[in-house]
Amino acid sequence: MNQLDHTLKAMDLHFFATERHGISLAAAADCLADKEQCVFLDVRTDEETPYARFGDAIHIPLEQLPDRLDDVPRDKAVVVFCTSVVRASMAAFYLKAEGFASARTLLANSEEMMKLFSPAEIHRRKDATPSNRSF
Amino acid sequence: MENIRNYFREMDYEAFGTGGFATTPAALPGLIKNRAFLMDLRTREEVEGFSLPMAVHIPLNELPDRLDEIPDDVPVILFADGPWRPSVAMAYLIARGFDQVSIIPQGLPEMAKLLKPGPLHAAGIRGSLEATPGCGCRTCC
Repeated sequence: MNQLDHTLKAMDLHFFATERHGISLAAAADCLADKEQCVFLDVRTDEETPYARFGDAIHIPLEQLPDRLDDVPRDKAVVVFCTSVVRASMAAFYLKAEGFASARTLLANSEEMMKLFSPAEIHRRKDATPSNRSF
Repeated sequence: MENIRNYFREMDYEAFGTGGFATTPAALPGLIKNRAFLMDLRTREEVEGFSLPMAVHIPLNELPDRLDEIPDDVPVILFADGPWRPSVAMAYLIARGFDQVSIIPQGLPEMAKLLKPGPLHAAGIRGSLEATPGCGCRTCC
């Protein structure tokens, strides 16, 4: 259990204040614009994905995550989402303990996430350059 | 690590769809009345600014070293300022063998709405004695 303990003990005020646990919707928007550096991980169940789909995120249900770690890129910032933070935070915690230090939760629910795919946001991403990213 | 992996493997559509892990903020006055074991996972710095005196305060980063303060025979209800910390703590506690764990995902902003005379009185709370932490012990609480 040492990896879990070690991961938890690092979660002090600074950890949360500097958003190492999760990123805001605004930072996620920048992440979406830079697919070289950043990847979205959808941990919802297979049953949910036919009803709502978000871009080209990698989909690994939480229940499969322990057995599919090889499918998670280690060379990119991993932004984990679900429908309301609960599962995505468990997954980000677990991924950190498995050595994915950059894993973070998208601190937004599905309703808020949809805002990332508005005409204005899509247009903004087309103009974005990697140097502007804030994640 | 294997315990948390096994917990995740069980958390399928059925498990999340039936949502037994969440406690609503509206239940808070009743939980206070019944002296439930409420646990605040925020940092010391945050709690210095705003706290709920009837909750037991164990910052998330102190959890691994303070497990012996948490009862394993009564429901444990976790909260912070939102869903992130209680969700992580729930997964951790379940991995460490606690099985009566739930979270208030909405956290303090919603909980504060219930800490007012109307909802507290409606739950049968009549004095400030109930605003002290429950120890989780059935005999004395």
